[in-house]
Amino acid sequence: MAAEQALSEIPAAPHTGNGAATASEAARLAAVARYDIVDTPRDEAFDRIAALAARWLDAPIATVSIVDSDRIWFKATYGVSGITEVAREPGLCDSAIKQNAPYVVHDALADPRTAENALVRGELGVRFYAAAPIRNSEGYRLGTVNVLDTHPREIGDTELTTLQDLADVVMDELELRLSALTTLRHERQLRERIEGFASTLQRTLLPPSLPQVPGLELACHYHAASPSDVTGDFYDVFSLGDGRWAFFLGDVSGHGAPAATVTSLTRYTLRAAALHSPDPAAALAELNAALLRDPHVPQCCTVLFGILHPLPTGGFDIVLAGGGHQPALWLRPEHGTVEEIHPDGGMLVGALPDASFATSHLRLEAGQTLLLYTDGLTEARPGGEFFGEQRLETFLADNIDAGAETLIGELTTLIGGFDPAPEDDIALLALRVPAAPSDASRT
Amino acid sequence: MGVITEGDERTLVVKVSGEIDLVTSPQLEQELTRALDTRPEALVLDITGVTFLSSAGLAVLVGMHQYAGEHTRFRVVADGAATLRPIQLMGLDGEFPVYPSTAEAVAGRA
Repeated sequence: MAAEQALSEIPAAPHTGNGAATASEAARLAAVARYDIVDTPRDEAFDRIAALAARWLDAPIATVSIVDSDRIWFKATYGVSGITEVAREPGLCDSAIKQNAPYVVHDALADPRTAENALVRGELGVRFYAAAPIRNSEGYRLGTVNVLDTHPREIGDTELTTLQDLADVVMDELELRLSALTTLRHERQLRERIEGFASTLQRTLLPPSLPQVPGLELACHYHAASPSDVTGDFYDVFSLGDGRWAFFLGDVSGHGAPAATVTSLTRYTLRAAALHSPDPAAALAELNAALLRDPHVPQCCTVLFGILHPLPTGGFDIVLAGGGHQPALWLRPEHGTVEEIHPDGGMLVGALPDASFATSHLRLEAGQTLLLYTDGLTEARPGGEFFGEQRLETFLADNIDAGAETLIGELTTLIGGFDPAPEDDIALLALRVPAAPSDASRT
Repeated sequence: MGVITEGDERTLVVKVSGEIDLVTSPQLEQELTRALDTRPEALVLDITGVTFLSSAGLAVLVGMHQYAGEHTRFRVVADGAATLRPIQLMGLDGEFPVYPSTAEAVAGRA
């Protein structure tokens, strides 16, 4: 009979030395750990297998057990409650995992293998035990599916085959879980790597901090729509060395690596062009030619590029060149107005060989702000409707006296509250001449 | 986005409605390429029914104008804040002719 066969398969003594036995148990425990099953919450799939084992083998108690280093942990129990694990001692599960076939104890009290086991001696009073090992493809036995009874009894071949089938189902389930876990871990690692890469690249594309421009308050914000993508917006502020300063803000029609190429090409072309030409429109023409010349850059961009001339009386003369970008917004608290500054006729940069660029002039005076932004802001759809230029201008009119930092802070809060979140990146750059002369002398 | 193409071999009228964004732009590019490949004398792109024209969509217009080349006259019909304004902001009304109505675009009047 099967049970007798099962018994005969237990090796009388390990035919390997102790060292080898310890090594193989360590490898088995490593396999148990790999499936990451011990101490996981209840799972109906395993509960059902325990219930099936009890029903098909007509036993009051069944468990799905995993044999850990110092304990037997129950993934599922049927017919007993409140027990999640027992100490690992020989006779039952601990012995069952030492063989490849089902393990049966007909009368636990009479059997020398189990007579001293706590589950047999104790309150539970186990008299009958049959277990099938949960075996993985490498041959490691992680635990058992087993049934227990409080009376001695016999068990047939068919029932033992059923028990083994159930243990194999448990193994299939564990393999599935493991492969899902592995995929998940892989994806997470990959995502972290990509995000790390994107944010590193991002730092090289945007200035780490804005420079201190005497007599001017500067503030900026970048809202990245996706942490895993290199963004398509850019801005910079830099000195031209003779008291003049230059600034730009723009938007590449795309994302990822190609957009990053355009951003970086734009940044150094404009920086270089601004140094040898006093006309910002000429710098945009140079950028246009550079973008068209580079066969690796299929993207084009829109950009506002301005040069700041400090005035002896305070404030700045600004020449702003436009390359197809949204208007800059000029906040004038003394009039209570928000005015669009759009160099009319300035064209998209990097798409057309014969593109032309235009400039606008303005004098930024004490208390006034010039805000540059990208269309990710106006094309955001909080509540399903475009935020739009009108609402932006109204918002700015309501914050017309705010300092540059405060204004950008208010806009950042506004954007953070957009639901759904903006789909595109948003870059903001505010330039403000402080209202009070004492403020101006402090910067 | 919806695209309807009508007309004869001399003048094709492509009417687009809905949104031309990052997702639908490639589809528009495909439709326009197919229309231009029939080598009409003029292609009138009517986007007055478009509710949102993204920069990706504008880039398609620029590309298609270049693709039309010398053989096909590329004309755009646009009006209002959703379509005409973004074209003007990008300075593209200086690149290809923009008309207020399909009739005027087909006639080719300035």
